[in-house]
Amino acid sequence: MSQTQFVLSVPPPSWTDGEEFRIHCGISDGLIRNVEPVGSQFLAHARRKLNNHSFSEDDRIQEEATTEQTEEIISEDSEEETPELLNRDPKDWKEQDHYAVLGLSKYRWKATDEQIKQAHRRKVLKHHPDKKASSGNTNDDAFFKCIQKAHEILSDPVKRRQFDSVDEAIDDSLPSTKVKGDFFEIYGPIFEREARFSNKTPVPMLGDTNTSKLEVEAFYDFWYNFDSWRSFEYLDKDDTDSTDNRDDKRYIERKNKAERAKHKKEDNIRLRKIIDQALSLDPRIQRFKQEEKAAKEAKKKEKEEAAKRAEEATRKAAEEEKQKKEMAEAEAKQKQAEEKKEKAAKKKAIRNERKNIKTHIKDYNYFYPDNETPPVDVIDIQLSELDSLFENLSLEDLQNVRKQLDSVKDRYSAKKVLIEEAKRLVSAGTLSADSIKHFSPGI
Amino acid sequence: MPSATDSKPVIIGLRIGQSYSSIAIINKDGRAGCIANEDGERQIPTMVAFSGEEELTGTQARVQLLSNAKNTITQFRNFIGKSYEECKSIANIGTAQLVDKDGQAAYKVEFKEEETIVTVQEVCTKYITSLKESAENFLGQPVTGTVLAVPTYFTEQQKNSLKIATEKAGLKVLQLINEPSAAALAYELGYISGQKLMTANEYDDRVDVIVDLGSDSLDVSVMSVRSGMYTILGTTHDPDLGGAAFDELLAKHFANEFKRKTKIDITDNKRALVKLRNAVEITKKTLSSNSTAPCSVESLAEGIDFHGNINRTRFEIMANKLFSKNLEIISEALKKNDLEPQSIDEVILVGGASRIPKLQSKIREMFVNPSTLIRQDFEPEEVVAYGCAFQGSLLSNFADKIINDSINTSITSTPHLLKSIGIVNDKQEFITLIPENTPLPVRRKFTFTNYLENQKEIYITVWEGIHQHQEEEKKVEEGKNDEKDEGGEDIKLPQRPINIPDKLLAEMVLKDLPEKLINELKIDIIIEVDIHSKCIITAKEISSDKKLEIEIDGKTK
Repeated sequence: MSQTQFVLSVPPPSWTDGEEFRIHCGISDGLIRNVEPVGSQFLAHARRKLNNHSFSEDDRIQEEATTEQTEEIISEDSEEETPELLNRDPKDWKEQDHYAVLGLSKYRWKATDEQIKQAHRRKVLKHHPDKKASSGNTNDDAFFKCIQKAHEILSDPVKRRQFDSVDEAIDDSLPSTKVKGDFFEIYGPIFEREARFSNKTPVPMLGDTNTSKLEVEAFYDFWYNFDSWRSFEYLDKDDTDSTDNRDDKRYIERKNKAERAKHKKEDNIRLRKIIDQALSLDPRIQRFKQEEKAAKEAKKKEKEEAAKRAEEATRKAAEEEKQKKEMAEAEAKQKQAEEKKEKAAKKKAIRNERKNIKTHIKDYNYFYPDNETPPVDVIDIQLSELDSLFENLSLEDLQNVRKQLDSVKDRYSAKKVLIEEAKRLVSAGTLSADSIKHFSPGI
Repeated sequence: MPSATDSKPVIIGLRIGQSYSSIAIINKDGRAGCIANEDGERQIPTMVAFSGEEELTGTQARVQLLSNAKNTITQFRNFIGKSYEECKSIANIGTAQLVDKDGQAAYKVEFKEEETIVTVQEVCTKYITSLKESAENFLGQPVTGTVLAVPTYFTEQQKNSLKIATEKAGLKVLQLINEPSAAALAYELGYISGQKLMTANEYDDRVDVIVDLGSDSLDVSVMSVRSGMYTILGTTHDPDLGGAAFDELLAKHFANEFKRKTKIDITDNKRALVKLRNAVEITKKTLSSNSTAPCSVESLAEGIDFHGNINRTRFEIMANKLFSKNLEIISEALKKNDLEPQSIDEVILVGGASRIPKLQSKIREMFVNPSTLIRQDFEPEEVVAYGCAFQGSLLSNFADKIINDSINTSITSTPHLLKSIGIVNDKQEFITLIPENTPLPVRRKFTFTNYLENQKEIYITVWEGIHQHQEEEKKVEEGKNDEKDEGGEDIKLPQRPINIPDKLLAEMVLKDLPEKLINELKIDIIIEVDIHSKCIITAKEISSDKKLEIEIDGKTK
C-alpha cells in the first residue's frame, strides 16, 4: 500500500469557517453472523464480549494489567549505602550481604530475577571504576568488585539458593512456647519464611481460625513431608580449589560433605521442631480435637438413645399385638354365640313350620273325605314321607309351603301343593323318587 | 493440589475423516506435524473391524478388509448422531450391515463368535481410543485433551454425539471446530513470523475460499478473515463429488480393460470391485506425482491377475466432467455471496483429492487475479488436523471456563459490519479503512498526511462504501478451452474491484495545524465501532496533539 493513498486535501470552498464537523447519517446496522471460535484474536473478542467492553475499554484494562507489573520493578529506588558497606573488602565475600550490596535488602529472597538485573545495572552505573576515575578517585574498585560478586551469586540460580540457604539476615529461630499472643500472628510469618525452601509449589499457608479441617490437615501433612532445597555449601570452611593436591582435595571435599550433612540434619530437626510446636499450640487442632470428642460423645449418646428407642418400639409393638389378639378372640366368641343363637332360632322356626304343615294335613283329614277316618298306616306313611320331604326343605321353602297351604281351600289343592313340592325336589335330584310314594306326582 | 512438577497439558488435534483420519501435534519449534500410528501411517484409515477375538482399527482393519468384509465397518463418520432412517440409503454395501437399534444407526457384526450390534457412537469411541493410544505411544506421555474438527454440515446432535464418543474414549474435548476454520487457522499460524506471506494489509483482511475435496464430498466454504477473526459466509456441500468419484472413474476404466482382455465382466462381482477400488486409489495417488501409474490386482476374478497402466492425460480427459463440476460448485459458492473470483485473496486446498495437478491448474485458471494465493503448501490431508493442534495449543493456556464460555453461541454470534467504512483521499479515491463483514466491536487506526506545504486545515470525509464491480472485464475466464495449455500470458488481467462510496457519514475539518512540508504532517485517524453500530471517529495530529472527536450514533439517519 503506497503512502500517496493516505493523503488528505483541504476543505472545499463551501465549508464555513466556524464549523468543525458535520454528521450526515449513521452507519448501517450490523448483520448478525457467527464468528468462528478459533484463533487468538477470537479469545480477545470473547474477553471483550464476556465483559461487555468496547475495544478501547478492553485495551485500557489490558494495558493497565501489564503496566502494573512493570511499574513495580522500576519504581523502587536504591537504598542508602552505608559507609561500612562501601568500604567492604571484596576478599571476604562470604560474609558479604549480597542483597544489601545491590540495594535489595528489603526484598531478599523475594527479589525477582528482573529486580536483581536492574539493581545490578543501577549499581554498576553508579560505581563503575571508569566513572570514579573521571571524578578523580582513582583505583578504588573495591566496592565495584563487591557488586560484581553479588551479581555473580544472585544471578546464578544454584549459587543464589546456596546463599539464600544461609542468609543470616533472616531469623531462623523458633519462638518460645511461652510467648503470649495470637498464634496465627506468631506462626504465620514463620511458615511463610520457611516456605521459600520448598521444592514443591504452591506451599500451603497457615491460614486462620476459619480454615477448614481438611485444609489444616493438608497443611500439616505437607509440612511434615516438607521437601527442602536448603543446602549448606556456602558454609564450607575450605574451598576445594584452594589446593592442587588431589588427596587434599578429596579430604576437603569429604570434610565439607560431612559438615553439610550435619547442617542439613540440624536444619531438618529445627523445622520439625517448629511444626511440632505449631501443631501442639494450634488452636484449630485443639478445637478439632474437642469437636471430634464432642462428636464422638454425641454419636455415642445418640447410639444409646437409638437403642433405647428401639427397645421401646419393640415393647410397644408386642403390646399392641397382644391387644389386637385379644380383641380378635372376643370378636370371634361373640360371633360364635350369635351364630348359635341364630341357628337355634332357625331350628325353632323350622320346627314350627313343620308342625304347622302337619296340622294343616291333619286339618284336611290326611286328604281323606271329612267323614272318613284315615287308616293308621296311611297316616304313618304320610307323616314319614312328609318328614323326608321336610328334611330337604329349607326354612324359606317350608314357609312357602305353609303359606300355600294357608291359602288353599280344599284338600285336593292342598295335596297338590305338597305333590308339586315333592316333584320339584325329585327333579332337582335332592330327593329320590322311591322314598316318596304318597306324594309322588304319579298319584 | 497442582504442583510445579506437573507437566504442560498435552493437546492433540484430531480430524476424523470419512475415509482417513489424522492426529496432529505442535512440535517444540512451534510447527504442526502429524504423527504416525504404530503401523507408520500418518493417514489412518477410518475403519474398525471385528475379527474373531480381536478388535482392529485403522491400518490393521484395512489390511483384513477383503477377507473379513462383513465384520469391517467403514465410512461411519457421517452417520454419528443420525437415525437409521437417515442413513440406510447411503450406507456402504459390502461391509458390515447397517441395522436399526432403537431408531439409531448401528452395525451388526460377529464378534467372539456371537452376533453383536454396535452403535455408530460406540464404533467412534473404539476408533478414537485407538487414535489416542497411538498418540500416547508416540509422545510417551498421556494426552490430556483434544480439539476435534467437524464438517460444517454436521448438526448439533451429531456434534454432541461425537463429543460424547470422544469423551468416552478418555479424551477431553476442548473444542469442536469447523474444518474450514481449522484449515484457515493452520495457514494463519503455520508460518513462523518472517516466513509468513504478505497479505492484503496490516490488519490482515482477506476473503478466503476453502476447497475441501475429501473422499466423499466437496465442500466449498467462503470465509472472511478480519484481523485474525474468521467468519464463514457460506458453505456449499456436494456429497456426490469428491475423491471417491475419481476412483469410480478409474475403476470403471480398468474394469472395461479387464473385460476386453479376458471377456470377464466384473461389474456385478462385488468382491472384485472392492479389490479394484482399493488398487485404483493407489493408482490415483501415483498419478498426482507421476505421469503414468500402474494398477495391478492379483486374482481379480476367476483367478486371473490384472495389470494395467494409465497415463495422466488419459485420466484428465476422463475426469474432465468431474473437474468442471467441481469448478461449478466453487463458482456457485462465490455467487451465493455476491463475490467474484477476482476479489478472493486466498484459496486453500484441503483434502487428498485436491492434489490432482489438473484440478489445481483449473482452480488457478479460475482465480486469475495474480494476488490471489493458492495455498497448498501443507499436506492437504493433514492441514485440518494442524489447525486443530494450533487451536489446542492456544487453548491450553486458558482455563476451562473461559473456553466453555467463549464457545457459547452468545459469544460467537456477533454483529458484522454490513458495509465497509472508509475515507476519500485527495484524488477522490475511496480508501477502505474497515471492510464489510468485520465483526464488531472493532477499532482501527490509520495515519494520514498532508498534500500541500504548510497545510493549515485538513478535510476528512467518512463514507460507507459498497462493492461496485467492473462488469466489462468479467468475460476473461469464459470461452477458455480446458485442453489448452495454461500459458495465458497475453490475457488482460482484470483490475481488483474498486469500492465506490455509497453514503456520506460525516465530514470533519482539523484546523490550526503546525506548518510542515508535504507528507510531513502525521494525522492519526482512529475509527471505533461498537456492537450497537455506534461509531466514534478521532482525528489527531501527532506533533501538536490537536484532536477532534466525533460520535455517530447508529440511529442517526
